[in-house]
Amino acid sequence: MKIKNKRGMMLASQVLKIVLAVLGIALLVYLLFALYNAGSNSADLKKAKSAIDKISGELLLVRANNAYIGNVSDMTPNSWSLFSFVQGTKPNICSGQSCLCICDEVYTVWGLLKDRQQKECDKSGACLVVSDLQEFNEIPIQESNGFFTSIEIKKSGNWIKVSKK
Amino acid sequence: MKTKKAELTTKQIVILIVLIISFGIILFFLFRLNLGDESDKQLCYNSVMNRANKAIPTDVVPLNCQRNYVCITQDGSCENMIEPDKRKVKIEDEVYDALANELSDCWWVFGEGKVDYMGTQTIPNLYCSICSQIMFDDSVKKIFNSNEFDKRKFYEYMAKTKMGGSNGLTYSEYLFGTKDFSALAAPYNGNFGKVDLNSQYYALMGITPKINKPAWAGIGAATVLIAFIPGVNVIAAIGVAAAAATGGYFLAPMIEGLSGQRYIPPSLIKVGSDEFGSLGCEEITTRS
Repeated sequence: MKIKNKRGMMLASQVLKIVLAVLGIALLVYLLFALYNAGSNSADLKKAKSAIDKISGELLLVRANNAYIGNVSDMTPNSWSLFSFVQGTKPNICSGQSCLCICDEVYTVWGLLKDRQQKECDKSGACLVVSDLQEFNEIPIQESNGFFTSIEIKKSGNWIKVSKK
Repeated sequence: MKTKKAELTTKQIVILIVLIISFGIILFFLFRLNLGDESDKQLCYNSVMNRANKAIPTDVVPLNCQRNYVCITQDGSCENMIEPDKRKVKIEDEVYDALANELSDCWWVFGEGKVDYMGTQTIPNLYCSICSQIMFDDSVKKIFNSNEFDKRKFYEYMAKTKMGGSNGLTYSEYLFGTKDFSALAAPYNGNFGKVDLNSQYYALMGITPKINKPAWAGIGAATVLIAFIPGVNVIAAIGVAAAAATGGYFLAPMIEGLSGQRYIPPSLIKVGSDEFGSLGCEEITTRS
């Protein structure tokens, strides 16, 4: 009976050690990953802001001339996406108005991880308020044959339409 | 024998687990206290004071001020804002109190008109600081039985209600230098405007750095009103009027603070409105 207890105790302590070791390693991996992400995200964010500035410039021209079709070529950063937020929850940075944002796409499950994309765009993305924006589907920014995704911006009735070129 | 000594006993395991769980509980309550909000305000206040320090050139010290996202709610839900600071309210006065607190916090953080945090500049630009972005949850409409409320009631509340703390001042005394509602209302000519509960609002203040000649804010200064608000911190008051397109009502007073600079004391301005545009903010000194 005594031997059984001792064996049991040893097993429990070893399991605990393994669990603590795994938790420690997981924490270290997470910290390293977060550190790497912080560096690469800030570079990507700069690129996204630059792309938003280009869109903003083209938008001014479209507003000044209804017939003008704005063109933003070589959107960056690679593997991020252009989103429109017209209905429902919008990133806080959009102040409750329709806006378009460039940010990293995140995995969402409607209902379970609701508004996760908006949170991502709010915290780590660049947004531009366009009050008369027409809703569009996500436009992924990708590189193909050395060229990045291009978009066009035009006036469509009372709305501003953004589409992939 | 060595191995046996190094083994964890049941007692040690239990102690370890209890410690880990206790640490988790303490962390949970620390996060619930929302100390981050206070730290952000303190950080901003410190950066404002550092910039005001004459020994250091103003441009060397950046302002470290973050916009606060606030949702005023009756039922605790805030569907249209991401992770806001919720202010739970039940009656009208609590809504006004939540708004007045945002304005007074903003005034405190930016030095209450006593510090010069923008230095001297040649162009009389208006530098705005958006302290908070405020959203009204749908449930707030039930309190007012309407989609809007009159700003007049809010200013009346600020004129008569004392702030928390030991200074014994009413909100309007603290912000505008007077608790006399009629003096406060005079430049508005009876029309304070409405607060639309479907829109978001900025709690913002502005500063115009020292210049050689008096500057006027507002579109073309066409309908600028002048009013004098007697008060401790206020030397003169210059009106910032909204353009005729926005209904032509007085938007916010512009006062000369003890620092010698001109300020727009914290005001509620609708996001994306003509009023906001008419202020002509050259730069927003707060990060979103």
